[in-house]
This record gives sequence, structure tokens and C-alpha cells, in this order.
Amino acid sequence: MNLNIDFYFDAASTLLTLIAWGLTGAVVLYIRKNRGDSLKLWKVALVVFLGSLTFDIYLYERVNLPVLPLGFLVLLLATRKKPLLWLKLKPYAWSGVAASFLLAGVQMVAPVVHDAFYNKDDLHTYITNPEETELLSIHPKSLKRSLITSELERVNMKRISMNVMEWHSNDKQVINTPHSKRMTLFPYIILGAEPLWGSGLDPVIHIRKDGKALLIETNRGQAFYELSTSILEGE
Amino acid sequence: MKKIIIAGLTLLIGFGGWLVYHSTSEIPENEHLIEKMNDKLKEQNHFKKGTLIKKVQGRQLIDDRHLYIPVVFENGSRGKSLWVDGWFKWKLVRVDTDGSPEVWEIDPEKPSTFHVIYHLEGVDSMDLYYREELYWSISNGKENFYQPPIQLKKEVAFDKRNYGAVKLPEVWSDIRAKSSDSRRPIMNLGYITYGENQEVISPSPSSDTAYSFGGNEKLSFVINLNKNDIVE
Repeated sequence: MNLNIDFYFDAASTLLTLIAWGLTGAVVLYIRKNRGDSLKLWKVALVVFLGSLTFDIYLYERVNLPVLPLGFLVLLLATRKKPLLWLKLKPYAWSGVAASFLLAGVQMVAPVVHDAFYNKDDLHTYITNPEETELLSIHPKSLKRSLITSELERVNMKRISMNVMEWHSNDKQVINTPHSKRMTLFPYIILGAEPLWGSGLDPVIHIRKDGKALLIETNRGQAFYELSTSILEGE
Repeated sequence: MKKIIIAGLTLLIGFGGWLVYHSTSEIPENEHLIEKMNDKLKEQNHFKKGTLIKKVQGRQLIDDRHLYIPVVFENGSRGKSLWVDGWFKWKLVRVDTDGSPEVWEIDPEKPSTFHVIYHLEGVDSMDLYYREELYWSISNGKENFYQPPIQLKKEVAFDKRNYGAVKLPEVWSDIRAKSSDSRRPIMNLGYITYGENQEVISPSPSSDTAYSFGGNEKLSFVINLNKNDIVE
């Protein structure tokens, strides 16, 4: 279970963050060289880091927009009686502020990069270890069936829009029957699936009762897929 | 050199503090536990007379730092007490005059640390249920969302002990941990208790008072279900 940490690791986002910092570092080094600065490198790094500390507003998942450059203001206040020092630090403090915007921008494109790395419409992205998976019935009225794990490797899936309206009307009957007699469209989930390394996806995979469709939920939302063949056998 | 010594000392003190903080203190004797709890109870201004603790039924360590102690009150009713290991000693964080099941969310962010604690009388076995209601949402702008209903069951046998702390089954906490969508309903745990002949026992209504003594331990409900609430 300790391996779980790896599943959450989002390689696309991490890589982009590293690139953003690398870029900032390169620019800062260029500035320092150009100015023939005597300021120690760790001090430069500290000022850049302070400059990058900002007060952010939350836009949407993982994307925060910097609005108030707190670190920059602190530096400005701290050096208000030492204008010469401020002149020295200013370009690095600004680099820090720029870095915070760059980091926010990078998070905005992260999903696009993520999609390029990890094909969301390929079952292999969600299940890299078909033999180790199991079927879990999440509904007492479900038929006793089992997973054809070999089929998980072969099967093709096609994303189609979630017909929640249709499921809903189907389930209206469900709502009107007593709890104890209710049946459901998705009575199974797949247990033990490991997604692709670095995808940061930790999916819950629901299986439709005929075994020919999946409802996959990740931290990026839900998607519904129809399969070329059934992945369930028995009864 | 001076700097190195200071840095070394700071590290040592920090590490020592960490060790002390993370080492498990010894659990006091039952009399001491009872005395401590009764002292704390008496301090409560809405405390009702005659409901002091008379007996400690046992002790169940949940992890190195969390301890569940089932108690019996002078009037015979069963309750729960929760303890957390702080600096050098166990601190009482809560006394509950009702023994019906509750979830102690040790780390609210991690469902795998959740434990159902209970202390029941005249019960032979208990079924715990994890349920998620069928839920859907259709909205413009946002993607559609569909939550298939879930009902999972765990049977809890009461051997000789009528109290316990049951860790949530891994599958339950896994499903819960993965559900990041804020549109999903909150966790819905329920229980049904059975007597010797497998007949359903409904808990007798009792006045439940929970006394909190600081700390920020999080507890959540386990609902008493009847057969009509579940799918069989």
C-alpha cells in the first residue's frame, strides 16, 4: 500500500514545475553574470524564492492566480533604509515574482501536457496490472460474476457522452421502489488496479452490469466508455 | 566551531523532543483513569449528578497515540472515552454517555485511519454498512456526474467483549479516499445489531451527552439502520 504515493505522483505537473524553475534559474544566472554581481549565489536564490511567495486566489483545480506579491513587499520594506541594497536585490526579487506567474501559467497548461503523456481513452492508462485485479460487487442484488482479466488487455474502449438523463429515467423506477428491492446499473467495481506510473490518476472504475461499459472516476472527473466486448463472465 | 556546537545541540534537542513526543506513554491504572475522568466530568457545568463513571471495561489501543476506553456509568449505562497521547501522558479528550457506534477519524484526511468504536449491551453481533446513495447531477458548464449506489457490509462478531474499535475495511476507505469530487455525498456508515437468535435489536433511546475536553479529534455518525433501509 505504500506504493500508493507513486500513483498520486503527477509527472506532467512535476516536470512542468521543474522546467519553470529551471527557466527562472537560467534567467537569474544570466542577470547575475551580466551585472557582474558579487552577491553570493545562495543569497540570490533566497531573494528569488522570497520574491516568488505570493498571496493567491484559487481559480480552479490546482490553478492559483498570484494577486499580491507578499515576499516582494517584505523585501521592499526590509530594505527601505538601504536603497543601495534594494537596487542590488531588485532584479532578483522581480524574477521571483515572475516565477510565481510562470508557475501558475504552467499549471494551466498541465492538463494538456498530461493528456499528451497519458491517453485517457486507453484502458491501459488506468489498469497496468490486469492479472492482479479483482471484481468487487458493490450491490447485494448483483449477479455472481467474475472478471475476465485477459480481456482487460485486449478490449477496446470508446468514450461516449454520459447519458445521465437516460440513466436517471432508468433509475427513477429505482427511486420509487423500496430500498430493499433496488437494482443498479453499475453493480461492480474493479479492485487493485494500478494506473500508469506518474499519471497521478487514482481511478474508481465502475462496471455496467452487462460488463460492456465502464464509468471511470478520477480526480479529473468522470468519463463513460463502451467496450468492444464484455469483460465479465458467469451467470 | 561555536556555531557547529549550537547547531548540533539544536538538532539533538529537536530530535529528543520528537522522540519523547512520539513515544507511547504508559497507560495509567484503571483507578487513575476513572478518577481522572470523574474529576473532569465534575468540572463540566452542565454535568448531571449521578452519572459518574464506575467501571472501566477494557482498553483498546488504536495506534501509538490514540486510545479507546469503554466505560460503565454509575447508573449502569455504557459509554466511551477517548484518550490521546500528548507530552509524557495520556490526555482525556472526550467522554460519551452513549455507547452506540461512532467513527473516530484519527486523521480526517485519511479514511484508512478511521475506526468504528462501540460499547453495546445485550448484543450478539453487528453488521456495519458502507453506503453511498445513487446520485447524479446534470448542469450546464460543468460535466455530468453520476454516482452509482454502493452498499458494502462487514460483519462484526462480539466474542466475549461487547466493545471494540474496528478499522474500516480497506476497500471502504479506498473507495472513500479516491472520491475527490465534492459533489459526492459525505460518507454514510450504518449499523444493525442482532441478538442471540439473529433478531434485530434496536438500541433503547438513551440520553447521549458527549463531554469534550479539548483537542481536535473528529468523530462522525454511524446511523442505526433497519432492514428496510438496506438491500438484501
